[in-house]
Amino acid sequence: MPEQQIERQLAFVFDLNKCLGCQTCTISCKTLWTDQPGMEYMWWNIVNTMPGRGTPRDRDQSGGGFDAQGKAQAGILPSARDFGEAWEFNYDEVFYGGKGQSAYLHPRRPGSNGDSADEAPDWGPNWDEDQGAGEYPNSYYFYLPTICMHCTNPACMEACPREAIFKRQEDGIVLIDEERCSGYRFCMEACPYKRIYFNPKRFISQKCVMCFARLEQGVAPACVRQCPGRVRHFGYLDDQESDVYKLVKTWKVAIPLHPEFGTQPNVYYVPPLAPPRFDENGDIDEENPRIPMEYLRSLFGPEVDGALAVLKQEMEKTRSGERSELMDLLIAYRWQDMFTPFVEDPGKLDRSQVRS
Amino acid sequence: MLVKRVEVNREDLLDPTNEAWRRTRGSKTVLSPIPLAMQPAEYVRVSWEDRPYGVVTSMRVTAFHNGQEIFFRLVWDDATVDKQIADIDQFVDAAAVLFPVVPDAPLIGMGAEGKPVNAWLWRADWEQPKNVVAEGMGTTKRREDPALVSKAKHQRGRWVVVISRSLNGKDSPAGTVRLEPGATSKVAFAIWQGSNQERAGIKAFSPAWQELEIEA
Ligand code: SF4
Ligand code: SF4
Repeated sequence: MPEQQIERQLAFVFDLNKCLGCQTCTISCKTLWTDQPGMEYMWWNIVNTMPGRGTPRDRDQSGGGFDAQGKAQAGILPSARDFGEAWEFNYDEVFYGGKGQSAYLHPRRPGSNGDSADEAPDWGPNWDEDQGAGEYPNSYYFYLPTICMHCTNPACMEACPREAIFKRQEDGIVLIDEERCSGYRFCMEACPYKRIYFNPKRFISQKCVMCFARLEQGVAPACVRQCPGRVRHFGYLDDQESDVYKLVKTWKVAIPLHPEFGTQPNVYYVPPLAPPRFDENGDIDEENPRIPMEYLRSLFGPEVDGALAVLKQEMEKTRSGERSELMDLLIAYRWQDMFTPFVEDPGKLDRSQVRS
Repeated sequence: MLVKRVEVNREDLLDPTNEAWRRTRGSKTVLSPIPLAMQPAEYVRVSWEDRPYGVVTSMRVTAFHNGQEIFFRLVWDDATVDKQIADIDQFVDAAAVLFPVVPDAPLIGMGAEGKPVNAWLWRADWEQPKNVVAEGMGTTKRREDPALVSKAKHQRGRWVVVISRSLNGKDSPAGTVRLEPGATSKVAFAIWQGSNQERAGIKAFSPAWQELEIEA
């Protein structure tokens, strides 16, 4: 499918070396956008531990996107169980049943009473949190936040026979028109990042909207603004003053996740650096990083080598007492520089426009 | 297909198992899958390349009117009842009765620009069928129509669905088909098998318009 010509593109850079896995971004999105009936299981923003199976289960193996020739690829349609259902808890029993000392809170699958073993959850949206990989002392993991990537070549948009998905000319945000959507869910299958959810109450597909209603009032997306780790840079990809421009275009340290999916995502990642391994004698093995390069290449493609090399070189510079513009950018001394020009105070938002 | 005039009241004709329907077996309509080449999205063509769809291969249709309302009774074999989705990877059974809005509206491709088709859509999880018009695949638009009603029953491994609306056309929503006693039109049908994840253009349809004659 030919790429749509757009005027400008908003983009994100997530610095994986700083992400705490705190899910503040996840909750800020949840409370703002997905707290209505039918949305219980939705997490438009999710932070997974890698290596791990992701959200939904085995996300990276679920197909979709385009092949090297640009041909659409079949993908799977996950179930709510794969995404991780919204568990229910025995609050009544513990808080109001007079058994506060003997009963304890436990999750159960929605709609069940939790009595039998198969009603106990066997998966959740972040089930394998902090598991990671490797053996002590060489175990490792890092956090990977994902949202809709607002792709330049959105597989979801191509897949919709009703043309209910569109990409905005003025900023490249990919949106689903809820009036046109018939709930066919081809988009969910086609999105290789599996960032579209189905609302069974309203029979429509829903996903991250890049907080467009905030942007229109000069306020950064909630996940960007709320991140305590200063992980999330945000701005126009053609704005030479923006952090995203400098990190993606100038320094080339921010690269897309799974570029081979062919959708040209607009969320870029600063790949994770890792300490060296310990060898059999317990000595530091400077040659080999704790996170295997093969693994990082499988996520970020061959560009990851160059990105990590630049990061190391600039770190070296600061160690020797020199100033590094790149390190200053990544440290994000001035918080609001991360998402200029969207620096308006969310406290001043006209909320009638955010949710009617 | 002849829409026979019968002296039976609305309540009885709306009941899919009422004895009024027993006097005829109806006519058999052969269905086939909509060709992949006609699916508007490459993704849909690619993902269904090696997957059978349009799996309901025939249905029986009977049509009556009582001077006030017209009734289509659709019967097809379906061993799996998909009345509602229990999880988000499931789809529901559905059927459609289609009419041309202008005489030369093409059935293949669900109408064309300026040549709309009208469909009465029944879906197993809806309280009321929907009246839609389309000028090509993926262009369906809904028309509010309180006069369009249906009743359905799944029994002995088959769906029996009655879809009805008032005759005489005066209260038909704008741009939809007008059916009157003594008039002729054309009709076609489609079935979606929910258990096979059929939806949108992934369906079985009757590949040509049938003449529809409404007894005076
Ligand atoms: S990440 Fe998925 S849902 Fe978002 S624009 Fe890309 S293909 Fe579409
Ligand atoms: S809020 Fe920031 S630090 Fe916390 S999980 Fe999200 S991206 Fe990581």
